[in-house]
Amino acid sequence: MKILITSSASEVGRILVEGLGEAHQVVATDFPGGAGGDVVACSLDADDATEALVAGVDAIVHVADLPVTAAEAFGRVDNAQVDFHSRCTYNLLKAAVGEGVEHVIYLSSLALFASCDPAWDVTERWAPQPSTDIDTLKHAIGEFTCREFARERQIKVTCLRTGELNRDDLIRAVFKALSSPPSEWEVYHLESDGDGRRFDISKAAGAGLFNGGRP
Amino acid sequence: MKIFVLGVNSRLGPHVVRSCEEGHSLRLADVTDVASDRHETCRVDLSNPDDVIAAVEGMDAVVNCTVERQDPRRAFDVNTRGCFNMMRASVDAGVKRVINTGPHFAIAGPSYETFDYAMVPDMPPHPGVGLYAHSKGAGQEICRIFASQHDIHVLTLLFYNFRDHDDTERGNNHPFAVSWRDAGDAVRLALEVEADRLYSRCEVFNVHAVPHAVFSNEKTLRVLGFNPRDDLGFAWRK
Repeated sequence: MKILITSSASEVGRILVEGLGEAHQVVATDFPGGAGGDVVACSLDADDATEALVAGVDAIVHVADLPVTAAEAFGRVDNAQVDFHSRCTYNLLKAAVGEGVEHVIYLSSLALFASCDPAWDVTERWAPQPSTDIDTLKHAIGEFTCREFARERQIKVTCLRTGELNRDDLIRAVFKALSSPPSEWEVYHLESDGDGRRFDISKAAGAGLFNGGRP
Repeated sequence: MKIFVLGVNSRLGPHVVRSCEEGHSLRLADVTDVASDRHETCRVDLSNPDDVIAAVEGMDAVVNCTVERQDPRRAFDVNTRGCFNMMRASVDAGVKRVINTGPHFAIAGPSYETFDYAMVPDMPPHPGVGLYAHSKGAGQEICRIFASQHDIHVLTLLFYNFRDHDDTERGNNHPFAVSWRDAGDAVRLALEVEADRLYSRCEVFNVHAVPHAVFSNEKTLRVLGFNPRDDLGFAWRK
């Protein structure tokens, strides 16, 4: 399978490029400020470059982690994040639809539930309750964009909301999500085992995205 | 009330000014030069946070009439990121009310509009993936999140088809239409409605004056007291 991984110069991106590279043909991309080596530089604008980036790709792993240099170059980091998670994600998915890509995996965050009482047993059936802190709000905006493409049956989207996640769990979850028949829109909560695990990951475990079950 | 009106050079902007200028103090802004002998004016690019921060200072309320429909970058700059800048600046400046405006499909996109009738404005928003609707819908989602977390009310008025009140030409039998001047009055009503009449800090209203019953304007009539003066029957009567 030919996989496009965005934000591939980020920590998560690098792990996935390495971890998925043996089983898949990986195309790594990042913003010009974060690109280098074999990474294809692309600003995810509504242009030919983004269309060329996704052409021939079977699936996209949208890591959606804007490089610090790109965010700072924008002038204000919060505006850069809003722009990236709305406009750039929209352009990426729009191009993917145009080029016939079937599946997008969007990496979101369990920070969308950070304001919830820790005593609550939050699952994928709970509505996100984002704060207006940009590091949380950006994921709400990104999910909103992806969900609309999925709802319109334009492309299938798997949304992985991650908490603290170790390298092996991250690779396994994305690898399994790529190899499973995608639904129109599916959300999984992912958090590695440990003293601080807060969220129920049994849905991901049941789908084989995760070892183990309920904490 | 001191009201900051963004996008006064839009089609809707002048009607908002005409409806609100009696009894309120207005600060008028647009991304292009604004001309007014009566009101304070300034030039504001909504995608520039510094512009917005300076312009909302000292205001009680903000009205957003800005719109960009076609350019793939400016649509998100204005409709999405612009809403973020408006809300961030308003919260920080202690503004208590924002009136946001947009097209009906910022909420009721194709997955609703293709199939449904009696659509109320409180449906889960699904604008779809058209550039204009989606970028406006994302902006509205940002407004909703800010209102859920801060002491600020956002009243979003949805419009679609506008008619001049003295245009009696038949045709354009549209299920979501209102006259320009009634649209301006709806904005004034949204500014003036008491907060205790609002169910939540983020409320959406369908603003139209037609009987098609595809979109419900009942909430607009009941909560805002909207009473359109212009009968658009020339458009929908035989």
